[in-house]
Amino acid sequence: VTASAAPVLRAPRPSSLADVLEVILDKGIVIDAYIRVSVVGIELLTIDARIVIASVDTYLRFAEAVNRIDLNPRDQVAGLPGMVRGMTEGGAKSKTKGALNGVKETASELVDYVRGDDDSDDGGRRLERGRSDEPERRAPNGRRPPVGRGVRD
Amino acid sequence: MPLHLYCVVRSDHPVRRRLDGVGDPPGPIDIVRSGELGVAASPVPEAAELTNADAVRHFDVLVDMLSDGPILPLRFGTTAPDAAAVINEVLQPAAVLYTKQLDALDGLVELRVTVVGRELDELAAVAAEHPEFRGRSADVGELDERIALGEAIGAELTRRRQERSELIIERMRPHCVSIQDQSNDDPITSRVAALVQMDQLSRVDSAATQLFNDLGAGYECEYIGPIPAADFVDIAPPRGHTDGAWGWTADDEPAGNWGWQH
Repeated sequence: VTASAAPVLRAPRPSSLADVLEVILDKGIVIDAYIRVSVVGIELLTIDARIVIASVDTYLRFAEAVNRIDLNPRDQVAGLPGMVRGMTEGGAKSKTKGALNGVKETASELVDYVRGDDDSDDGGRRLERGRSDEPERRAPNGRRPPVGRGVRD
Repeated sequence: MPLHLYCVVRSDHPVRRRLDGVGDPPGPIDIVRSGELGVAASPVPEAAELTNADAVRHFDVLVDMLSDGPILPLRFGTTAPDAAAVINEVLQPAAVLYTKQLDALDGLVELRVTVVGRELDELAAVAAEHPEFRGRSADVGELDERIALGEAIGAELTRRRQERSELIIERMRPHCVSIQDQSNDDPITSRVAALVQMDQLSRVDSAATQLFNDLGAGYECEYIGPIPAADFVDIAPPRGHTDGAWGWTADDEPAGNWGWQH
């Protein structure tokens, strides 16, 4: 316990309605014999709040966001959360440096890929896609171009 | 007049009337009693529709009643045609069970910690740790590749979230009877529920304060309670006594059924 610790204000109820509803709708005794008053609209709201997360749109947003973060490496460093367990400042710096190198390399490879893609026929593309995942993910430092080698092989 | 039901309580539970009930106009909250048990209820108009404000009011009533002793919440939206129905159809079928559950919950409350990261910060951290996610052709790549990349990033966000949940649990566990990670599929939000003895509240508060300080300004922390310990008791409907699915068969129930092991 440090002297700087400010008193925590415990709130009597969640700030979001969805969290309130989760407590009073998901939990508690259910008596079958009784009419449920029309809470249908409210229930839908809680369900909606949960579905949204794991959607294709979300994944595309993640992919695009990480791509954009590359273009602003300084923001990236500033934006790192203050406390990550076990991560020292030195560690974070070296990781960031590696990241910058990675960007350059991958970007030049990307140009190759785009050029190559213009020439390739449909058969080649299908091959690329089928092969892209495995080797690329395991390659150190992400230097493997997304799909280029699939064509050359 | 129909009654809106809030929770099962002991019959000697005080009626404070600090809050009105749900509905428009709101009615006063009373306890319908039978033997050692009672149900907190307030009159509502026929064919009443419950609103978001009623949901909040219902929650507040539960929390208010919890301050005077153990309660077993009834699900929001439960109504009874009259007081006799409350006694015959709510209390009498499961009186022994409710009495045991109230005894088991006496002096215990639930606290919740929610820690929400900033999505951009979390994504930046993932990008820094995983060079292979960067510089991939998010604009020109095939759709399924972009989706796969997003999924992989989502999995990393989730891993980071799990680490935060573990940190929260590690810090609070020494002062709790039980604690569990209740995070859903939101990859930047940790949700932890803790079962705590009332007389340990200040210790948990200290642990939470320290935790939030350590997490820093990059995380939005919400600390809620005391609320009814609904997450730690299987308050199943009293139908199907024979199936034993909720472990409350007749006279003997091992303590483990409560799931309170440390």
